[in-house]
Amino acid sequence: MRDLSFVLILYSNLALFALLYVYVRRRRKLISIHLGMNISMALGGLVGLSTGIFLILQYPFHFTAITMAAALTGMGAGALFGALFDYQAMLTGLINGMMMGLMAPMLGAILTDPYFFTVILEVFIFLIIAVLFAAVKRS
Amino acid sequence: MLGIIGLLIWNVSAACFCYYRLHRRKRQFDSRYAATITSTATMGITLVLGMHVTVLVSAGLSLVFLVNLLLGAAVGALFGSLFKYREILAGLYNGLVGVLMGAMIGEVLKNPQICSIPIADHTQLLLNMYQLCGFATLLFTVVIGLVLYSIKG
Repeated sequence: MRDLSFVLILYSNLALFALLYVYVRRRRKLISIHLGMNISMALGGLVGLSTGIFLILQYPFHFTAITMAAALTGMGAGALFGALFDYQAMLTGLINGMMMGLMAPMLGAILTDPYFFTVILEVFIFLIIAVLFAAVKRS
Repeated sequence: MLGIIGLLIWNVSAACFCYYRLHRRKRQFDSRYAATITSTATMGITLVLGMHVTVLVSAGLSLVFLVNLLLGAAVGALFGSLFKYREILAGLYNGLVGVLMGAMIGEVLKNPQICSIPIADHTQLLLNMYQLCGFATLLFTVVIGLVLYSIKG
């Protein structure tokens, strides 16, 4: 169980983002285009970041394959979240997910204390999700 | 290294093609659309070009970063100057961010020990470089295709 802990954290994060996708999709008529652009930027970046960091912490010997997988996942997530709104939000989410996915395995490879960093990253992810809920409810 | 020079030539020609197509249609964009196009195209182009230039140039770290920053500022100002001053600002910022990220990726590809990635063999290093540069070129082609596809619609 301890061997696969980072993959389990990644799985729970991706499930959380999928639930968030369903939530945003249900309320997409209420969300203005500027908020949609920011949602696609932030969530594409977060999906790419968490995929890259947790995969490189779990399998440190496959740098190239993990970079490709994280870039593709970030691009796909940014494009999915942006495609709820319009084409420009899709482009913005795609380019941000690509940049974050290319950068994230490098960040994960230089970490010296992975558990502490994981806790801090989860706190920031939940903070961003809380701000997003507030923004969607206010709009 | 010859393959990476070929990929760099492909990327530069794709960027020039994108600039030419945007220059021909620059009257028909409204302001939000212009800002989106500028930030997307600039960030993609500078990310990939900075990565390739850093892999190819084998000078000291500060010289490489100086060359890359000048390149990013030039590309951002060039793409932003198709429209108004607001887009020049967005283009400069996105170009500098993209080129810094690209230079970091290139430095890690040249010397994986600074990220403590366990690659020591020379042929494996070269293979790693070719794979990631080819993958970045593929992504860049997809992004340029999407940007150019959005003009027609």
